[in-house]
Amino acid sequence: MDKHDVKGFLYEKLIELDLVSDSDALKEIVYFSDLGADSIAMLNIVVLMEEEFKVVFPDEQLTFEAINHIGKFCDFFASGTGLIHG
Amino acid sequence: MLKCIVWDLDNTILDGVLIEDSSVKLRDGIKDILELIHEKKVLQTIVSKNDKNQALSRLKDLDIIDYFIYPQINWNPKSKSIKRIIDNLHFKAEDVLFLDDQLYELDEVQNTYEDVKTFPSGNLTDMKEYIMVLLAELNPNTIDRIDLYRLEEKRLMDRERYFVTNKDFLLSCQMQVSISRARYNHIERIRELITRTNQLNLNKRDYSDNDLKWMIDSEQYGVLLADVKDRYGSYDVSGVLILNYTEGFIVELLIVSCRLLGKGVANALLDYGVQLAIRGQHNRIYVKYKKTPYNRPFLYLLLQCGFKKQEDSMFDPNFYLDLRPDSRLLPDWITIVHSEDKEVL
Repeated sequence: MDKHDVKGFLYEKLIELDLVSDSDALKEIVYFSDLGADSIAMLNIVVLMEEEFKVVFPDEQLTFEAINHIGKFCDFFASGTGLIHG
Repeated sequence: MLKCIVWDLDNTILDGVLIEDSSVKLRDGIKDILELIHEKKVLQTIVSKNDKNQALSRLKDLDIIDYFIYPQINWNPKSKSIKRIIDNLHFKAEDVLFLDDQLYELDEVQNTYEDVKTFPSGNLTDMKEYIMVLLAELNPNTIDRIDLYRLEEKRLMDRERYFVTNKDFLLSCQMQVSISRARYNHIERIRELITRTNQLNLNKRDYSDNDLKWMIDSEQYGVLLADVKDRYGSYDVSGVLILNYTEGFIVELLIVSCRLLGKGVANALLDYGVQLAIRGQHNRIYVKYKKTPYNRPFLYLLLQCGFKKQEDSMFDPNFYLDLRPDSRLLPDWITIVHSEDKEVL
């Protein structure tokens, strides 16, 4: 999976979910908590990504870094680690 | 159970198309239906492809604007607008009814949300009959949450208007979580939260009245309540934290009402448990998480907070966090305040 696609989709959804109104505020080094994204927001993001990329997200394999950090989240998703393709 | 009715405007509430006739009138009999639904305490909103300012102005002139909360009037696909309502007001798709005269729009929504109920609005008599059937299924003792939804609408509108990030908005809300010990008179509310809450429910374990009474009286357990308010108003008692001190320091149950989804209150309650554990000089806090079809967000919460799974654990508790004196899980935008009951800490 291409990281550029993953990142593009993620940024679009972060705006759609009202976590941020301006894409300029989004960078790979940003933490999800800096946007005010709690666990419900994270679930919404993951579900949207699962639908878009037709995969099942491996919750059990999520690392602390991947679930808290935009860049690491994109790396995790793009690497395909544990993703089940539908 | 029906909780939200989503109305189209053109040829559904209005007797024509607004963009073609700026003085379009209401359909005959529609105001009676709106009033009937309002009396049954079901939330009503609008999803319409129209010019927002023009539509809101016309609804005001027609004296029906107050029936609607969080209307979505834009040119987006209607499924997208309905998603916004479901996500932000925290409804389940199955609790929503969508009414529109265009079969295309009904299908478009149904294709995205197969659980959303849809009904064509072309024939007013048929539509009213269908609504009456759904209203008849409601519990007559349903609590009136319309005012709470109005407060939530104000929060959402402010967030959309004034803030770059959700965190900036949450910081502006001045949210306070007040923790107090539960007493017998809280048992009904605790049980209601256990029954009604699915997403932010640690394990969906149920407790009888006697279980709760016993835990409230026991020194081996802490049954704590969270009363949440912000600058917009109060959410009342919306969270429960049950701690078990019998073997180590264990979070037995943690529940946060769905009205507080997305506000970090579960993190605050978990942090409260962490601070109590640190004061009690525990090195580790355990959590009894049990996966259910709905509580995936709780797993994410634990992972976000750095909890680790006990790989060899066949039994509860199954997650733990090693504590340091400075361990903190409290979101920046929440302040914990203590009730007059000093025994809590």
